[in-house]
Amino acid sequence: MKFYTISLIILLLLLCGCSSREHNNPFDPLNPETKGAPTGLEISSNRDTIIFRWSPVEVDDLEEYRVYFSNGNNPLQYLQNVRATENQLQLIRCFYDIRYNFAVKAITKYDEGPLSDSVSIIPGPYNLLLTDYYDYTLKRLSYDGNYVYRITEITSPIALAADCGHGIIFVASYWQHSVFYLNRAFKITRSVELSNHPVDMSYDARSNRLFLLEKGENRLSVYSREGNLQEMVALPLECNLQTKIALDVISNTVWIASQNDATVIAVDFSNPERSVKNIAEIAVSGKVDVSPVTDGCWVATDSGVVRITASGNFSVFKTEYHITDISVNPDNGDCYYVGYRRSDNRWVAGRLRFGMQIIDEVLLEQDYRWLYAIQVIPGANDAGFFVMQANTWRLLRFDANGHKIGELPEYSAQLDFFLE
Amino acid sequence: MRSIAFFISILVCFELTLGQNLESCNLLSASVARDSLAIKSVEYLQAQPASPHRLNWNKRTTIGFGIMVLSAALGLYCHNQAEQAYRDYLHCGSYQRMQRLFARAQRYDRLTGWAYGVMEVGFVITVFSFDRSK
Repeated sequence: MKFYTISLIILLLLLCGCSSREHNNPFDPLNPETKGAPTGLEISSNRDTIIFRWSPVEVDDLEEYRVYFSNGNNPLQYLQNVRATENQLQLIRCFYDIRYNFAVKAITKYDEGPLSDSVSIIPGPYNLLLTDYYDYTLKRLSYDGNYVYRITEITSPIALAADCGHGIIFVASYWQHSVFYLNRAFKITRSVELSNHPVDMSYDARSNRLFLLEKGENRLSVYSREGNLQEMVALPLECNLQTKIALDVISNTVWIASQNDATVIAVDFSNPERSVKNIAEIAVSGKVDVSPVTDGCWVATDSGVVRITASGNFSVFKTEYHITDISVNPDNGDCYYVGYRRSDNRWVAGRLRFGMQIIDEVLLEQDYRWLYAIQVIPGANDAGFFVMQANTWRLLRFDANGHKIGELPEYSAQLDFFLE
Repeated sequence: MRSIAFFISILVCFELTLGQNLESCNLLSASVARDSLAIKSVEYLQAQPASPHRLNWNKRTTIGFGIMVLSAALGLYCHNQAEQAYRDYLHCGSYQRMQRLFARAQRYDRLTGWAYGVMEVGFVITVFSFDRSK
């Protein structure tokens, strides 16, 4: 009895003599989360400017931060010191399409901390605006497709356009029968009520006009930048979710492709009478996109990519493929496409390079399947493209040679893009 | 960890009390087992006058109580020292001082634990010092 009691008391005392303190000092190399280095690293780019931020290291006697950087695959090298009261660094005049890597360490009066993990970004002339119909979101993504800069919720955003000069983003909401006007900070500044569901729209920044198609209507509505209805043009087809619009600002022509009516029509706005021409009857399967370089348009169809000239002549490429989406580089006329070969379900992404003769270049083949949307990065030189992969619901960013440089998860297949 | 220690101290008290009760129960059952129908020990059935309820403060009580109070005070002091050292550690910018402060916090934590453990022992001694059966 006495033995057990004494044993229990000793055990009790032993149990008491423990400490469960954790290494929570952010500068402590034994801290399991920070490992002694700055955390909360964020990086963003706007054209040729990169902003690198980190969470402040809250310790006494902090003197400064030391920032390291490199470009490409080079090792990190010292860039500059940042005062302890600041926790960001701005690097200007960066080169486009080159990867920049950054890391930072904290320096106190007594010691120099370890280097943080590195973060990287590829700056470019554009950021990507993107609406996701099923996710109810409008997002601004980085040029390299690795970061989401801003996000806001909008009900069923079916179409997206923007007036970059005036800082207006137009988002058409399918279920709310409205077009919302947002500023650069994604705050809704105005909304235009529609009589029906919007299905697609396009904005002409030169004439400040918004061209809009509504479901179940046989018309093309034209709104001013202020949201006033200017005119309506009667169309020989009824619009639905598979009706797509594209605007050629050079020839002042609106191209409309309807999957249900298997028709492509052109509305000539340079003519005061707004002549509407039925250009071709083809099995439209996706988007129509204009080519200001070459005049005319490109259409994604069930039997390849179709190029239609302004006079109505058309030629077909990739005839054995079901094309799910196309995107035309407005600066050089190249048409990027995604689709699959009907005979063996072989998925491809490629481009039809426009020149004296059109050359087909396959960029992705078999490595990526279920590609349902593509957006090319405009530019005289090839800068790459975004594609949306349906089975993994990822948005993938590739460079001009088809090498993946970025990806973001959780996207649906019903996207609309705009490069701002 | 402290709650485990506390639980074990409760177990110790319970075990000591239960042991004594079992001993008295065995005596009772031995006397009744001879003839279950006959009432042999009538005195058990007679009303016993309750003894006056009085704390029996003795030397053991003083020792137990003293241990309890002193170790509680020591525990509180060590706890405050440990907290202070850990607070200083959290904002320290020197590796050397950081390690020293962390070790100090741990050392005072251990001392706090020991002091509270001793306090519990003092508590047990105090409680059992009132046991008049011994």
